[in-house]
Amino acid sequence: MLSPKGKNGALARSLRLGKLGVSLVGSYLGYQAQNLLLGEQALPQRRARFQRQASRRVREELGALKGPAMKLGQLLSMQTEMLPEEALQELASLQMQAPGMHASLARAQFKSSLGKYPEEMFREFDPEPFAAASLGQVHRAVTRDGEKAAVKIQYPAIRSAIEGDLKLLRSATLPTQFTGHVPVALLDEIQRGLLEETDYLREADNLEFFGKGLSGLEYVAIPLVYRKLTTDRVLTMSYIEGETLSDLLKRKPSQAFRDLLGIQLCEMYETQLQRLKVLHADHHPGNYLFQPNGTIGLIDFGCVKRISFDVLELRRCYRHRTWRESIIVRVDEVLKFTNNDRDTIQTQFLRLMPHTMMEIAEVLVKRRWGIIFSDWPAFVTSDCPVVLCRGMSTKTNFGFGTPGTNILFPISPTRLLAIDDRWDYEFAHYKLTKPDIYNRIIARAAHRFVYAHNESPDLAAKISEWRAI
Amino acid sequence: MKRKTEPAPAGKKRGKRVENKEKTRQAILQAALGLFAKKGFHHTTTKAISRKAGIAEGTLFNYFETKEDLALYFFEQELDEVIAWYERDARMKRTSLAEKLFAIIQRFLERLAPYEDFIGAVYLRALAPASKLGPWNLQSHERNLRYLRFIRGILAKAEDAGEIPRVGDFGAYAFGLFHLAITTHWLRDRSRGKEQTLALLDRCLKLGGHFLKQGGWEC
Repeated sequence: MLSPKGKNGALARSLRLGKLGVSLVGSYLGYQAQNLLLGEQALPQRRARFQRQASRRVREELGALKGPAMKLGQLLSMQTEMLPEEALQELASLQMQAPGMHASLARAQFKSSLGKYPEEMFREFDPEPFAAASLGQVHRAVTRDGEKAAVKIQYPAIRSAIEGDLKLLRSATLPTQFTGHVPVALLDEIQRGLLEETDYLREADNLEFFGKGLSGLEYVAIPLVYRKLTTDRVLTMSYIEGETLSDLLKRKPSQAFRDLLGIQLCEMYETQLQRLKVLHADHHPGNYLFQPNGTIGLIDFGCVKRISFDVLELRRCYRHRTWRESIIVRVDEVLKFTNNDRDTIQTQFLRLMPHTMMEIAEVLVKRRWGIIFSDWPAFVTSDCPVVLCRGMSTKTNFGFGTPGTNILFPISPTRLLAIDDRWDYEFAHYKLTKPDIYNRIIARAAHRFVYAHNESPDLAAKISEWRAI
Repeated sequence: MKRKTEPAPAGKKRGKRVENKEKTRQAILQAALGLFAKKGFHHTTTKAISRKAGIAEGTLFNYFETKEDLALYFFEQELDEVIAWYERDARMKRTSLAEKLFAIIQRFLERLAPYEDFIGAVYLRALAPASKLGPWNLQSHERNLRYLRFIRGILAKAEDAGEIPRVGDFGAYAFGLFHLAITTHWLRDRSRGKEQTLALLDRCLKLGGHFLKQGGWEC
């Protein structure tokens, strides 16, 4: 029998990672063999089943490894163009988690970080945590001034544990680093992101940045940081009241209230995206707290995404299919010469395609976007924000290029547009606003009014009218 | 939990004398600990201790022959304090075994923290066969037994509650060794706030608990 200690040892971890590869391959081979025997019928169902099984296996294995490997799983789930839908759903459920701390350990860790026990620094301190946080847990407290506070305490020595695991991850993925499937840049990104997440002082900075940046939106509540009670391992902030979306929806609020929340959520998101150019990147539903008056509390700023490009421009291109239009123009040009012969058009169209791609690339380069051409799916990191992929057949075609052409963005377009479909598709269980309200706000209002510099008074009136309902 | 109790003094006068003697002992210990924490174990002289305690150097030797005797007395006191704290603390009555054991070691470490240098020196001395601090010294041995009985009592309660399978006295011995190992790790732990030791302690106890839940060595 493998001893419990062995299960968590470094060697056992590498074995697990290895096993993951082997069992996936094994399963895929099994699937191929089945193909030979069963012929073409029922192929799609079987493929879907295989993908579901494989992705569950990925999640289970990565989940057991925790830490960096889990982060890799999360990052994979962000690369929405690369993986099948089933795999995405499984991977999205991975969360960074540290082992739970009992009250004595949490107290000891608090003292180890701040030099005193919590009961010496707070008027009240609840030894039992009320929420799990990334790499730690959150306790309720009351400060000496009588303010309600939330105290986030990190599991001891998690940073050095992560550093150790990253070394392991690097050696475990060495073969794939050579083939380019897991580029070093991705590992660097994981390392940077993870180590940032372990530094609560950085999170405190984020909280203050967002608090200031979103202060114009009076319905947004962001915790205040108590700097004197905060270190890199303990974060003390004001307590934000509110209930989660699922609890709120259980009480069946009126459609008007839902619409109000929907509008506010969108406005909040867009303001971050376009004004702050920094996104609260942890869209865990538990990080949004709703109050009966429509106030939305936004918590957990451990993970934020800085956006280095013009989102508005990118979205406009995508939304209005600008690139497709430029291609259509070219097709029209071709038409002039070919006497409406469809086959010839197609040939010419395809011939022109790489050229169009290069044009797009040129435009992107002018906007200082890094570009990588790749015949394989590649990971997008902040160092190489755009990747043009050729030769891989994937489900999405961005309206230009051969069916196998793909562009991957730092936040993939599906994410950017998730806001369009969020209630129907990404957050399937959280249908909040009616799609038409949503479309009205986002497609016209949010775009032209909330974020463009010249404000439109009639839309402002419209929004305040909705709010009043 | 069985605990040895001090025999009651025969007469009132004698009681007073014992009390005074104990007071002086305490004064010496406090003076010594203060100096150990400030100057380190090796750089503290008996002269300095007696001066700080406000007694003659000769009197000091009536109470403690060597610095080792002082250490021995210190550990006795610490053990008394931890046992008293454990009995007093309401939370310790209802929490899990893993947390109880964690809290006990943590309590010891926390109390030892100001005298780290002193403890380190004592550790080295205890290795000598003739040392009063070593396991072969009877007084030291008695203290160890008292500690083991204390742990045994806690484990027995967990056994009765069905929290762990029967581990017998061996469980207490094993935990004693673990405690020693953790203290050694703690002494050489250079991480901030000794958080590595906290993590190690927590993980080991969880793994141990997991191991016992699986059926321990009987599986």
